[in-house]
Amino acid sequence: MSKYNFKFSINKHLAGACHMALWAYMFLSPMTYWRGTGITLPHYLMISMQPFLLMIVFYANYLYLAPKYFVAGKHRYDLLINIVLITVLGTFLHYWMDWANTLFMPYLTNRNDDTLGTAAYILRDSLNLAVFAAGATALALARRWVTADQSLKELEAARAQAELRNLRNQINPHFLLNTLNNIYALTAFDTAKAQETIQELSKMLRHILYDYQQPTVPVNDEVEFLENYVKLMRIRLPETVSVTFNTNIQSNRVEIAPMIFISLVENAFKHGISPTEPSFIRINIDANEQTIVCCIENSNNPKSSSDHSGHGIGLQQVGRRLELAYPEKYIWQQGTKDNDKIYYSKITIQL
Amino acid sequence: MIINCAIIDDEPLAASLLKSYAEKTPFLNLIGTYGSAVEAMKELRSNPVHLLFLDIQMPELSGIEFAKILPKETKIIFTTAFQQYAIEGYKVSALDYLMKPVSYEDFLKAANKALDWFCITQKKQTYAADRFMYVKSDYKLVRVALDDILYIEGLKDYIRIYLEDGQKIMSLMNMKKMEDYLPRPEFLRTHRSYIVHMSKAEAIERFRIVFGDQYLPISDSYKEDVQQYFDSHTLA
Repeated sequence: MSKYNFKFSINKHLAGACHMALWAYMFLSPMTYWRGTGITLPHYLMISMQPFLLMIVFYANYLYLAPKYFVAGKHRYDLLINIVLITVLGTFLHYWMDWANTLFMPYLTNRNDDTLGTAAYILRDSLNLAVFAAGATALALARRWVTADQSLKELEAARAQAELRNLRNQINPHFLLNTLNNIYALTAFDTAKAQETIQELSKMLRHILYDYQQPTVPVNDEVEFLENYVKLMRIRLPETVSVTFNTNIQSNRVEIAPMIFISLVENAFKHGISPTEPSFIRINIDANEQTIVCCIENSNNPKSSSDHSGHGIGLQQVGRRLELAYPEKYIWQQGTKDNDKIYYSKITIQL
Repeated sequence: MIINCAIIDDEPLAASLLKSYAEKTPFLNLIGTYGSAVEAMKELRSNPVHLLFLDIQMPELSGIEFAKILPKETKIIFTTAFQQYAIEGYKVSALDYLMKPVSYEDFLKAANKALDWFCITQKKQTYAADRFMYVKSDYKLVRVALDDILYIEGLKDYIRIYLEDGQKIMSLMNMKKMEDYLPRPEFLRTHRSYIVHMSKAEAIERFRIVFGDQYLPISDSYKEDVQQYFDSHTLA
């Protein structure tokens, strides 16, 4: 954060200096007449009307018209106001300068007094003003673009923060604790299985910690992550529960936004297993270069009203992640079938 | 003494760990291991076990809920991975509370606690039925009839039993243990240093119980039980 502020303040000072230099030049350039023609101070002040009007047009555009109309897309308004402003000021400037010249330089005889000449002078002065108006608008646009870029970066940082919070939610501490307790029990009976389980856990954590930071991961990695999760959950369930995990990955170049399906799998374990009824969980993942399909089915055992575990946040997250990663390119079907005996959730993603 | 016990845990590994612990503990006799409270309910309500190792967080019927519908003679040791249930566990008068992962050391400690409890209960029933107990005094066991006891005085590591015939018996024992062994409310603790055979009290004054020329104090912490006893035996 502080880095951005620092950069921004440098830009601000630099911009200020540029403005100062420009207007110093604009106001001081008539001074060059001083030597040659012996210009007087009142005359100088009078002809300073030109840079003064340029300044008005410039800042009117830079500070007000450009941000309010041009950037907001009201280009015609902006143009109209500028034409009126510039015509009025250009005409005024011509007559003002004419008056100044008559007052201080009456010896100038080659003045064009005819209408055509006057119109040409007015046009010249107006064009000067118009160039400054255009420059101011361009500058305002550029400045806006820079700040937009900056807020985009800030947005990015905020998103990363949110993602991190999200990540903490993903590693459910209860899951960790329960898994560790089961591994503790395993060490008493089956050391090999305990080692295997610890390895699965560590692979899973590694995936969450590192791969999750990437926008997409190889679908194989994601599948392995899900498989590890399923294995870890499996050891907590009785033998009678049937858990199947089938994958059909046709290309290992297929990538997927990570951690989308995990909430669905979690849900299947949370709601699909009954201590008294026969239960099953079936997970199928198919992927080819065009589509990824994840289909999860489980025996439908609605939890009793006293069980308040989970509040549907997991599923909301799935929706949000899909919306962000695959806008308009996914289909998510869920519901029950076979007389409410099976609950299914199926996500199809077009790549 | 052998304690009949059962295990309820929805996670098979946790259950088999407890099972292996129970099997290697000589005074425990494992009757059954169940995957859910619902599964165990029928069996345990018709054939109550002494001791139940009960997981708290289980789907459908939690350990706490299950504990409330169990017969009184079944004592419970809760097992759980989550601290937050501890207070709730003690509310349903659990004997002990084991945090997962459970080590054999912790398990054995809790089981011994249960063993003590059952030994005391068993002896208490025997003493109350047979109306006598033996206490250790000067390298011998002396027979004491419950009906002869007036009151018992606690003296640091010893107790002194005052009998009706004026005899006093000294024994190496603490008041807490003595209190546990004697039937209630026939015998009540009235003070840190006194257990009184209530039916032998001659009179009660505001803050003391009278035995002949002896005045035994009633302390605030035991006042309620004593008051209740006298109230239920007072002609109003």
